Amino acid sequence: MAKTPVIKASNLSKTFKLGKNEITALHSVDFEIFSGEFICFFGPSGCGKSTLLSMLAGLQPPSSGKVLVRGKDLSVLGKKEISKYRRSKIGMVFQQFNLILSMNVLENIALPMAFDGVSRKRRAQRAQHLLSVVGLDDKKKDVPADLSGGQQQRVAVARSLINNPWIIMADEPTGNLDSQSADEVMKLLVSLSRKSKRTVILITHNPDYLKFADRVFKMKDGHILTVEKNKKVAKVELLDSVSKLGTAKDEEAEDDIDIETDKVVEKDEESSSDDGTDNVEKTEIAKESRNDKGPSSDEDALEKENVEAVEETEEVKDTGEVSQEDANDIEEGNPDTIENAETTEINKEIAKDEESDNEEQA
Amino acid sequence: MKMIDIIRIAIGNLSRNRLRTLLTISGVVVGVGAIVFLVSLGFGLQKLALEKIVNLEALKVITVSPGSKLDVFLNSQTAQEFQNIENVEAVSPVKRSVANINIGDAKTEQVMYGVKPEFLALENIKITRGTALSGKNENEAVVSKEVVTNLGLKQDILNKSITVRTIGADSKNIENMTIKVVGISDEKGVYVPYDTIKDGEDNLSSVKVKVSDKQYVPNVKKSIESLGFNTSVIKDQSASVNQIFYIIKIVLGGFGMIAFFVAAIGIFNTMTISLLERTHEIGVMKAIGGYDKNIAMIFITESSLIGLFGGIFGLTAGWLGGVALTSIINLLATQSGGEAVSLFNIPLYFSLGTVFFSCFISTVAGIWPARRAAKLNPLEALRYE
Repeated sequence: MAKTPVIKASNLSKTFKLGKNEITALHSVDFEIFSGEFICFFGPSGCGKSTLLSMLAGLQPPSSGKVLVRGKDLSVLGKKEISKYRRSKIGMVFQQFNLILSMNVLENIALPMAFDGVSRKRRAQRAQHLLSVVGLDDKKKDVPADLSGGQQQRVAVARSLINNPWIIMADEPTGNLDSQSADEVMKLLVSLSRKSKRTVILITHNPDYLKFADRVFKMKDGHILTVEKNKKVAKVELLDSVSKLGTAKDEEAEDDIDIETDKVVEKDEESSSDDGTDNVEKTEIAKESRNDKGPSSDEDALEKENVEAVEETEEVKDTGEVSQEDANDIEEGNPDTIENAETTEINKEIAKDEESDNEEQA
Repeated sequence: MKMIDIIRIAIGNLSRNRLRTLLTISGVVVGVGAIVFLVSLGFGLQKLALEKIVNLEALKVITVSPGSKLDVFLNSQTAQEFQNIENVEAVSPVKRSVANINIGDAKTEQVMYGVKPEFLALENIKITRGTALSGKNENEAVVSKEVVTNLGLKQDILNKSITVRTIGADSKNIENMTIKVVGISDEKGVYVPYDTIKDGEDNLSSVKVKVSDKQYVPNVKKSIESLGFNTSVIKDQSASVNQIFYIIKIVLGGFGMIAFFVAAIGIFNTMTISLLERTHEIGVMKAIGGYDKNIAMIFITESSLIGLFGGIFGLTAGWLGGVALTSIINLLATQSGGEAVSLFNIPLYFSLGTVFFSCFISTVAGIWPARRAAKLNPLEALRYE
């Protein structure tokens, strides 16, 4: 099967006007990022890497060129759609942590879900679950000011995962941290990539982190100078808690019997076994329930990917360490299907998104 | 985003800078309090004036007098006919006679009315001392203070007997009687029971017709007039009184509005500063997927909450101010022998209207900051420190 990039930048440029001068922050860059990859954009300050990331995140439009996410041009998205994209398709982690200071940890993590109109109880469950993934169960009632920088950044990572996005974008996530906290955050990001099979895009000027990446894009003065494949990515002790992202969902789902789609999930869970056929069946059930809300071609495509990928679940499951070759072999949608519950969870989220969208339109 | 979450976030933001929020709310409290205090004073005075000037019972009474037609007589039989008109509640015939009143050497000439006992209530004649006519005894009278003055008496004539000499309409039927004064009233004239005036012919000077409600007065009046009688009613002055107080209330409310307008500027100011302080946070919310609408709603909700709390507390403050002032005035009034009055009156619709108004204006004051917040560029907002 031909690989389709998760993110494709073509001829991407950004020019700023500073007084009378025009400054080009990014000169016609082209690249493709594939599902499950850990990508580093590396370069000195002012090389345009943050500008690039903000365009990938839809925070600003490019001056020219396109960003395609799963084949979809970001520039054609309306204001609402781009907000939805930022909320559910990507997870952002910033250098400044960027937590809302007046909210406690749980509320901060759950905030993107609140924008979707998800009930408080459900939000709290999901946030609580993610807190255990980042290892801060006991801090849920604390406000950000009571946490260390490293803890705040882990909360920020948890927040980025709330809507179960495919892509994590981290802009200098360790820039404000001491080395020990920085290591913890890096370990978390690497685990997300290797254990949970998410696409992670890391912006950094710290050469120490390049060893974790599958590919490194070296940048300077608005150009991508080189793209280096890591033949052998560095071994790192992965966080076991990250695997909860897949498996712990099953427990979570049991409490969620209030929403129709959840009932489907719960029922499936009871009858689930490890064989692939069951997984396919499950995906189809989820699909059915989703189609009720109104199908969309984009999501149908994702659905197919999921079904195909489920058959390969066993192969990629529990791959603690992924070589470059392995990473390249990972099929589209793999991160989402690596755990069955995760798949249905995403379908559920999509259905929920559509619901909330309909509400918004109404 | 659910409204409850928006409210929760808004309250969180408001309680973050408590002093500023309290001061802003205080501004609204002063504005709303001033409006409530002044306008409810207007309402109170209006009510008082309506009670004093226009007696509502008196407005239901039609006075019927003989018409110009020679063949139509106003007598006890026609009075009975009035009773049969729809919506007529009571009919009270009035005989009129001129009387010379003597007590000892003092004498005065007065108009004497022969009335049914219920007439005094119908005409709203207040008995200041003594009792009203009982209707059981023919020889009793209610006389006005004026009679006492005219008699030039220094001693009290209540419960004393006076000699009355009546002269009929045709100067015949002169009759002398001794009558006991049972009550003193404010109104002019001497009131005696209907049968006390023995007039040879059955001629009534007037008939008081009371209808069951003010709204039936025009119809009943028309029916009586169609029978050939003249009618008169007390002019309903409540409309003009209401109009005057309408203007007074607007003027008083206008003073309060000035204070409220200043408060609205305060809200605007607070929200604008809040916008600047929270620019970075707005950037974060947008970056993690908040809709522009969500951001705007949070701001709008904050300003309307300020208006809501300000409105509720302002209403309470205005009401308490009214209660306090009324107590002080009544204390002074009763000490100097006056009557306790209720100076303030806050109708429910006005209370609710004020809170709603406060909320509305505050919301309007928050629209501009909210729109600016919603329109912030997420990337620039994120960079803002």
